[in-house]
Amino acid sequence: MENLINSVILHYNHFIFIFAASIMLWYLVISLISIREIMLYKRKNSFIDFKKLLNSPYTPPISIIAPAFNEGKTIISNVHSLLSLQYPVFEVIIVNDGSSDSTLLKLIKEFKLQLVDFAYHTHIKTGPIRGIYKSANPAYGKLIVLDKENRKNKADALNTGINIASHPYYVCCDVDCIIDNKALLKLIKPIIDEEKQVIASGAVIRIANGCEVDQGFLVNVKAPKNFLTRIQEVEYLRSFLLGRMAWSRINGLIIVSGGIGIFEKKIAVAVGGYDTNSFGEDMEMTVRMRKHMNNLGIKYMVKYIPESLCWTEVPPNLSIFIKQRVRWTKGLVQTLLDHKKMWFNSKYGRMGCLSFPYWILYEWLAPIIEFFGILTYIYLIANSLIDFEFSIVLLVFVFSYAVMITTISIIWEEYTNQVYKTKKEIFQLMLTIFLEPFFYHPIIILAALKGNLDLLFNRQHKWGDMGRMEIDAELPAQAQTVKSNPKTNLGAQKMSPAA
Amino acid sequence: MEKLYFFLSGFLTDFYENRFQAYPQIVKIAYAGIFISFTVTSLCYLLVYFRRVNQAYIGSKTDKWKAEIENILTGSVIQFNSEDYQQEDITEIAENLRKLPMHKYIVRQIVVNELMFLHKNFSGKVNILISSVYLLIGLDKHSRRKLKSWRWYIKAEAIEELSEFGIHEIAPHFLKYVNSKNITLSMQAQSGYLQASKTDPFIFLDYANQNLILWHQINLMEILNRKKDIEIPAFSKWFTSKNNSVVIFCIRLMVKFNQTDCVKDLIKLAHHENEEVRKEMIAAFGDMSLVDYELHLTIHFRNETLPCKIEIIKTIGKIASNDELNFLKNLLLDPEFQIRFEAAKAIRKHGEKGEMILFDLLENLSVENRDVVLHVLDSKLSA
Repeated sequence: MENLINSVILHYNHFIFIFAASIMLWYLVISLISIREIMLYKRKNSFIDFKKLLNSPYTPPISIIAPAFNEGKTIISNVHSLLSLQYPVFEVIIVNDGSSDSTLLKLIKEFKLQLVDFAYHTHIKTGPIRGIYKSANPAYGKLIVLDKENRKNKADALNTGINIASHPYYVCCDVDCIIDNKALLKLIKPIIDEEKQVIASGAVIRIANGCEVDQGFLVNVKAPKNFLTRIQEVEYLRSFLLGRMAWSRINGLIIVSGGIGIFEKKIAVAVGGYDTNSFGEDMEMTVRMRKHMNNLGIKYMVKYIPESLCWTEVPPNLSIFIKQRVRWTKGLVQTLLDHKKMWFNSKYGRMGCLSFPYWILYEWLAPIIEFFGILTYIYLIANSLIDFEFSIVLLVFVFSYAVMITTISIIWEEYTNQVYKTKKEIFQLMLTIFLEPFFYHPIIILAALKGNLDLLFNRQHKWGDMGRMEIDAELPAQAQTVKSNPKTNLGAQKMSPAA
Repeated sequence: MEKLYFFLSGFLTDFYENRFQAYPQIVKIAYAGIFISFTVTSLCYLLVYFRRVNQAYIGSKTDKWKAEIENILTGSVIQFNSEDYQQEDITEIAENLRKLPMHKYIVRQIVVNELMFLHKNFSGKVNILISSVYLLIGLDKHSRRKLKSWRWYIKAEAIEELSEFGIHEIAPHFLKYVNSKNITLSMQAQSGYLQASKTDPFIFLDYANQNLILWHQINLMEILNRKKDIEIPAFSKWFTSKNNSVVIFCIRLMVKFNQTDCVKDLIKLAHHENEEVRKEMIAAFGDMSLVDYELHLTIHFRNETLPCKIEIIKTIGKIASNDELNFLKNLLLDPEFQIRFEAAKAIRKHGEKGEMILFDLLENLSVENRDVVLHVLDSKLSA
């Protein structure tokens, strides 16, 4: 019996080795692909004058859809910020998702909103709506506020927004995100500048914790001071600048984050909108849109741009962070299982043969394999079945390789956005990388395991509570640092997988 | 220090000869991996550090040169915007610029960029003055050299520079890049040809066999808005092009330059196989307010696709001649929501008469249609 166990464990050991080697090779490949994509983007962009888009009658109009749930503290400044975006023709649709606080009242008071006879047409089936408001002040003519019953998911709010959106493209974003003033101009660019039809496009999401914000506008970008938020910044950079840029290059991207992303409305309606049962509605939607295009046999692309266009607050403490990651895992697994027919299916091209295998192996199963790998390692050491010195050398190699890959992503940030002005900030970020494998990665593994177990045993999900930025719109216009308040319990539904 | 060196070299030699060579292959690979990762990571740190230092240094130098160049150019531009200038004045500006370290690529490029900025933003005498300065300092040679580069973005920059300063004889060279697989280079070639060609600036449309994407069209339109001296042909010439994007672009240009003589050719596109072309044609009728063709559109309505039907309704709303109000009223009973909605909006666009019709209809319509009519009658929603 012991021999059998030892044999299984040794074989598992070999499997882990091959798995780790493949994942490391993959990261090397995506680092190289992302270099090319980022360089190309930068060079292409040096010929772009966004003023031309601003002045042209042919620039496609955009609807911004921002669901809001109990955002009373920040809603006014956030809406002002959205209304001031640079773009020739756009509308801002705020979907009040049955807030129980003063969100709607504040909006009505600030923007002089009045109920209107809106011809609401159900392109996508949604929960009941309570009313649609427009401002009596023509200065806020771009604003539409839709009040609806809360259905405990962001997808339903987004679908309601799509139903009233009047433009061919929509940008979905979290209302509490800080959007770059030129975000719409930059997001539409890949759509009008590609031979193939671009059905969706996303951009880099950055961390607002620690930044100076004034009335919903980003005044000064600063690196997060809190260790947990700083390490998340590192993770976001690696994920967006390495991962998604490479996937964008090979047209295999299956996620455009809910934090900020532009989508073709016609396709979103054709696929029936966001899935209200999904924990990761943004990924699920992107997959279904792609599947729809594949089924129609139309050539298309999903693009990503390496620019920081959206700044969001991330969980400032461990319990909220774990809740968020558990939900992301559930969303990921749910989406993968919902589209089983696409796995390794050549009908779906790169998505079926490359993206899905990657997400299954390296995003879904990797934490599970890694967890059992650690248990195996402990068993092997305890039973002296492994050469300790050699295993340490291999561990140091994995560690140094992980540090190298993440450091490269920071270099890409230096070459693209360079949002941190001081050398100190960037070096602090780079030093954080060394601690990631010890303090952050194990938490990610445990959260992923919990997510899998919750889904397996059908445990009910409670939406992760996010600390909200302490920006009071009533305060005088003075710059203030974003501080997360872990005590506030607002039940916000934040953007999904940054993985 | 010497001791440390001997200790380290001894340790490494001993490690390599007595231990490393005996290691299994995989451990050897791991050691090599650690070494490579460590080296790359260290290089990344050094890169960030030196890049920041270099940026600060280059930034300060660039700012200094930019200030000097601006100092030389701005005064002259302001002076000669109102006064006449002589050849000596151009020579003086050129001499002042030559005092800068023009042998350096970066300085030449800053001068070109500054001259381009002024050239784009000033017209008339100053515009000619800046072109003359560019030629007199020999910066066209700098741009021509760039045109020979194997890098697409350097080529694209060269095309931008040479075309901006109107170097006409180089224009035919741009044509070979019009169909480049690199869409930015092809865009620059199209824009460059349009600006630089003296005889037939739109001939690149004959050569374009790739999709003339929207961004390129916006770019070309912007040039046409800015450069008033470009010779404008009759755009109906390209209505028979096999490239649908060229046809769409030419319809837009026809509207922009209000070429009413081309309308008889435009109408022929009603049977075009491409839906986007037909849609653009319909929109053109509205943009040019071609009242006489309104009836023609309503006849075509039945056989059209949904997007074209909607465009026809919008066009009738734009023309608002009052002749097709009954046609629009009937559409309020269409089963398709979008058609009903656009028809109500088009009726509303007919002014007071349209509004009266909508108010009259309110009593007899179904609940859903009443919502549509109330929506379009609400001034806050139609604003």
